[in-house]
Amino acid sequence: MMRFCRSLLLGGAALAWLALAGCEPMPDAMLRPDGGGAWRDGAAPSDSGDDRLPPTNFAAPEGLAVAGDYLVVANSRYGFDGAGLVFREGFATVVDRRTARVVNRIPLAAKNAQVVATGTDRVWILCSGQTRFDGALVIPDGEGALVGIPLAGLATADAPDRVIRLPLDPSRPLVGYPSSLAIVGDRAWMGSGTAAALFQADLGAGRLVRGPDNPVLLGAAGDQDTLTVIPGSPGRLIAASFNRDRVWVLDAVTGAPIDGLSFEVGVSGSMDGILAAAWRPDGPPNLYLLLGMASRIAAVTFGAGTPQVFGNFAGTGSLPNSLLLDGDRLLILNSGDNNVRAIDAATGVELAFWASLPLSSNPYGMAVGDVAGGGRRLYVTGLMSNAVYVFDAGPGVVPGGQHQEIR
Amino acid sequence: MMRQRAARLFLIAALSAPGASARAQEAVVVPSIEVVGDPDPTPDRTAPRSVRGDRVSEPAVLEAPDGPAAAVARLPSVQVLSVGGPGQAAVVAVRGTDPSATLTTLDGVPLNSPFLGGADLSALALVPLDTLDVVRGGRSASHGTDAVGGVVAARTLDPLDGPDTRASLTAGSFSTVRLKASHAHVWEVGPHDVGMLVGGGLMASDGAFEFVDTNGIRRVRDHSATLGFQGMGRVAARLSGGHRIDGMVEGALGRRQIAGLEQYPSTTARQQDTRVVTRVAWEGPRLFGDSGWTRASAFYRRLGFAYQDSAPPSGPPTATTLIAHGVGVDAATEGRLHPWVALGAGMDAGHDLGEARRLGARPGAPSRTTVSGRIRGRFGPPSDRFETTLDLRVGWDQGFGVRAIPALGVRYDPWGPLRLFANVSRGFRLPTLEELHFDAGFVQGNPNLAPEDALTWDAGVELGHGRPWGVTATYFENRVRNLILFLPRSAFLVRAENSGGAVVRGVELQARWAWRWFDLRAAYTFLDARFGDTGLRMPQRPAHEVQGTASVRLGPVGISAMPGWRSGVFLDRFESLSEEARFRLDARLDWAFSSLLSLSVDAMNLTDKRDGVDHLQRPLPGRSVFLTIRGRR
Repeated sequence: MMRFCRSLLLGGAALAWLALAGCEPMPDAMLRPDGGGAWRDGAAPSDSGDDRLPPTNFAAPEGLAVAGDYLVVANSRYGFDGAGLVFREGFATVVDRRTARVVNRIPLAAKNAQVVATGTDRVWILCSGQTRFDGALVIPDGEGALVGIPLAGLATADAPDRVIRLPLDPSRPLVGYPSSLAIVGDRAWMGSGTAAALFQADLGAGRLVRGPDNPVLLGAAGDQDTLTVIPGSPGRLIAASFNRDRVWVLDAVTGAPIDGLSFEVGVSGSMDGILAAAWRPDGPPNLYLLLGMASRIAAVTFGAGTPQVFGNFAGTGSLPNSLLLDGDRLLILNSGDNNVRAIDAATGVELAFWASLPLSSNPYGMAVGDVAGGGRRLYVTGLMSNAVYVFDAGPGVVPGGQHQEIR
Repeated sequence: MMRQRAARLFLIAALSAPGASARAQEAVVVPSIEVVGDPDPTPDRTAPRSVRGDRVSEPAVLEAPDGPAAAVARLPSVQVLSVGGPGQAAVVAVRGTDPSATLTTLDGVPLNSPFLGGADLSALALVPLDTLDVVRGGRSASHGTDAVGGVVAARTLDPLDGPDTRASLTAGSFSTVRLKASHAHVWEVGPHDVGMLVGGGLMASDGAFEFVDTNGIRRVRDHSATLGFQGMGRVAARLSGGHRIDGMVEGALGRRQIAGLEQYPSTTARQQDTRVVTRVAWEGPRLFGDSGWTRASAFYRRLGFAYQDSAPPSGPPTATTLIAHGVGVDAATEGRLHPWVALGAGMDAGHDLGEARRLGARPGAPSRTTVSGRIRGRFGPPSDRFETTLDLRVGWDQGFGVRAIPALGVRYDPWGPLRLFANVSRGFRLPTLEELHFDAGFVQGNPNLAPEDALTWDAGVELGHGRPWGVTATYFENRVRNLILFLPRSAFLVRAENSGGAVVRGVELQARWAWRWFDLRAAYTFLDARFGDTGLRMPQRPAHEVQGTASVRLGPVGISAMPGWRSGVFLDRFESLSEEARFRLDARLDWAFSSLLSLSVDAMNLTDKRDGVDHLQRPLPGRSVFLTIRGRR
């Protein structure tokens, strides 16, 4: 009996071992190249014949801006090729807002187009360039560029007429990758996405004034950081650090920090992660900061003395990515929830407005603009769906899931 | 002390000689007779009787359609974090800890994944379980790593309790079917008894359910199917001279479709989990003293995890396979040297060898060895009115050095139904292998992590000890240092770090009352769990939770209503995202329509709440109904 039981146990153990040893699927054996995964990119898998433009109207669209009757969308065209991140030359898509149709696509001759801003006579698109990851740090791996397209030629241009390049400086390997843009008069300020550095370009002359070789540094050049920059009050600039949750008010001409106007927001001891900002000239509050890791909005009121910080002005949804002041309300884009919600800009109270996007669209950026007849439209890019969604954002309107889709 | 188990006696006028072809007489079913006793008050035999614990042993509860996790969810300070849907993952956290700081065992074999931490209780749904014990409080002095919040000990049926044949068939919502069966038989071999248990089961579920998403849109949660198999064999022998030997082989395989995040659903992600547990054990008489025991055991455990997604919503295809082999030995003895003093000693050693393979990454083979020795002293009068237990564990954990883990427990019964108790102990949790070595580019482990270190204590009073009614109140604290969290280092990089720590305070209230055909149980937990650095509440820890069970049994029919309410919880570290308070009502109808067969109808989430989400904001199913036919002889 005992021998039988022992045999049974050993035999059972051996069988179990053998059975299960062959049960685990091994990564190297599956997902072979011929069937191994989808090319996850703004560009379709067939996006290889023409490096300048893909066959689709949008390819990983990110930032956008209203320019008169047009909507200009920056397409980053980044994606994954096998296991690695690939950056391709970006392009701008021009949409006629009156008809909601794509009227032009403009190759930008620069990689990773992310941000769009409207100047006096041009639309400016910030192309961040590409990066590489060394296991600890994200390092710029190519020059960025700020390109301009005349407003009058949006529907017909086939290339930017101004290209201001930001070449890398080998002595400051982290300084580069411009990823935020603020236009103040005829100057453009750009915040680095990889270091606490600001760059400046003279838009009128079309030249770089302060580049990676002589940036405005708001921290150590060798430390990873991400700066967001927006126009502030007249003659002022707002810069915010993701890593340190710190805000500076700067001189909009020189970029020098204004004494007494640097402060921290967020929870002490944690990285709340300032992702975006919005300035409200008719405050208080005057400044809104989107804390992406903390999923909330901090608000700041500037007065005679020290700025008053309301660290918990309002909550957001999941994975908030963008902020936009629209009159008396603040629109918050929640990438994790695929929706846009609104709060009262004065009180932080959540408003009834909400706009939901289709599943897996990954909303990234938004813009608002009036349309003929007194309406107002909210435009949202879908980074993963390669589309732009148009919502009715008129007074009192709650669009919900009703939207127009532009592909 | 709650009533742990009720024994029912059925008189059956059937005669069946072993191996003979005797003709069985007609069975006569008579009303059940409930024997209310005070069973072993300490579910975990290694735990002092000052330690709080509960035992779940009713078959209908253990075999609940939503798995063993649901069986313990109604106990105080037990939190179940489930993905949702039959067969999907469900992990348990006790007293405000993380699931990785709650140890789960199967017949003493640790099931916590060395890679991922914690153990998936739904993977035990097909195991022929006899009991599920939950011991609350730091138990690292006796169990080693991971037992900071408590221990969930699953025990299989004892072969020597045979003959016993069981089978159950469950069918119900989400196109779920589950079949379990086990058979135990005992032979007399000379002066010895030898028992054998074989069992197994399979389960399949489509898993699709309707829900309401964050944007108020009604949707269907697809790609959530599960398939599971399990089998085991166990042999035990009771030998003359007070010896017992035991051997077990158990294996399980589960396949799941992973539906993904609510707003980013997947139609391609899949997961496979495998488990092999083999264990041999011996128990014998004392080595010294007037009374006592001696035990030794050894195990081999293999846990496999494979996840693949050929087309994730974002990023390249991903595939990960983690296999953890573990071996362990344990030996302990205890003897009573004096009417007031019992001393014990033990040692254990273990080795985990991992195999980690990821698409596009170099394979890894992390490993870990642990060795420890422990001593115990139990002091108290022969009247057993009070007892003090002192444990000391000194262990060496490869890569983390030597640490001493003391524990002290005091129990005092000043008057019949009244018991006072208090415990204090140190606890620790070694970083998991993924926390140490994970590398997926922008999300990284940290090989420099230190173990989590905790001081845990509790104190309370129990009234009604040994009675059919009772009330227990307990206050507890866990003070954890070096809490391991994955924290952002920049806008691009997230890495495992030892954060400042956390303090968890709580109150547990339990009440029970049994009167004739009526049984009432209730549990309330207050939890205040905060990060040490920021003072903010820890996510997924409700401040208030109430669970209750009201049962009525009239003859062969029993009806139970099980309401539960939980206050709102935060879903993130910053108290920004929150999930609202949740009320849930479950019900069960049991009908023993013969001595061999019974029928259960389980209805869950009767209020059909469809907008609840789990700890990762994934939707939870609405109302569901399951029918179980259970046979036992």
